[in-house]
Amino acid sequence: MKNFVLNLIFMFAVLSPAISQTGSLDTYFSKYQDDETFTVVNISSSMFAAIAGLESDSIDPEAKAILDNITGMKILTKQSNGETYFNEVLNLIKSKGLEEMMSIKEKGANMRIYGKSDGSKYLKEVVLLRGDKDNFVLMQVQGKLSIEQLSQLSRTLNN
Amino acid sequence: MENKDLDILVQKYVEAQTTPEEELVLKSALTERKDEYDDLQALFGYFSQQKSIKTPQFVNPAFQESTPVKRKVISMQWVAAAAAIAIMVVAFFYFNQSNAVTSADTFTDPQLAAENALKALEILSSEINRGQSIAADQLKEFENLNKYLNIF
Repeated sequence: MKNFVLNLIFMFAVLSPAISQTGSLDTYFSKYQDDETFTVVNISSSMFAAIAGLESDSIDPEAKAILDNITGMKILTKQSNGETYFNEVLNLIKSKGLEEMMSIKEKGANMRIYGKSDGSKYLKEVVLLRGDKDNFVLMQVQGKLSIEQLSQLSRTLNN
Repeated sequence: MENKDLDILVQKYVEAQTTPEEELVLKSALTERKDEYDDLQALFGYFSQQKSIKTPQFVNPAFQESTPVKRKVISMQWVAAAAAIAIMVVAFFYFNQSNAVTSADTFTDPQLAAENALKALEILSSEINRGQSIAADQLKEFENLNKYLNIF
């Protein structure tokens, strides 16, 4: 009987971080979504499904291909105290199963890109984090993504 | 039965010394002699009269016959299992709560959402390219350094 209860507690202790991990940065987004000093953008999976159904000439086909593979996007920005929030997210992100893919440290500005692999060559989550004195950006993109495709995008759109 | 014996029996009866058999004898003797021992006759008459009156069957409506309730015994294991399930359910809702809060869409028009998503992706894309070009520059410098080192 005692063993049974202990097993249960143990099982629960093992499971709970796994459960909370699925939420990824969601708690962080929801923490500031009602804060007026932040700009929050949230595009849900159902909206991306609607985007996939669009037949529009205004969207570049290559860009459309990327959009079709996205299942969710969240953006959180603020026009001040970027460094403070940058460090806040940095501490949080370590426990979310995200791997650092890119890090640029410049004078007074930090930029990080994190990714979570889907087990094969694609990423199921990409997180951009940028912070300097006057700016803070946290962007989370979920879906089936590849860095090559994403880096190609700015060239496609600017031509 | 002679009067003398009867007197003794009556005396014994009054003193409450008689046995149940003697009382029966006394009773039958007295019924034979109707005119004697009036007070005792009256007493026995009263007894037999009272015996013939039956107490009416009285049902108390307030009194309910209760059959003992068999209590079901629930084993501790089942209680533990139920508690575990309850904990899981509560935990599930607790962890899901935070997800549900953020699900409000910023845009209602897919076209607008697509345009904004693309803008965001463009920023992400340019940051990736910036990182890659910085890395490439550094690699070039590293190669230059290697060239220098190879000269010597």
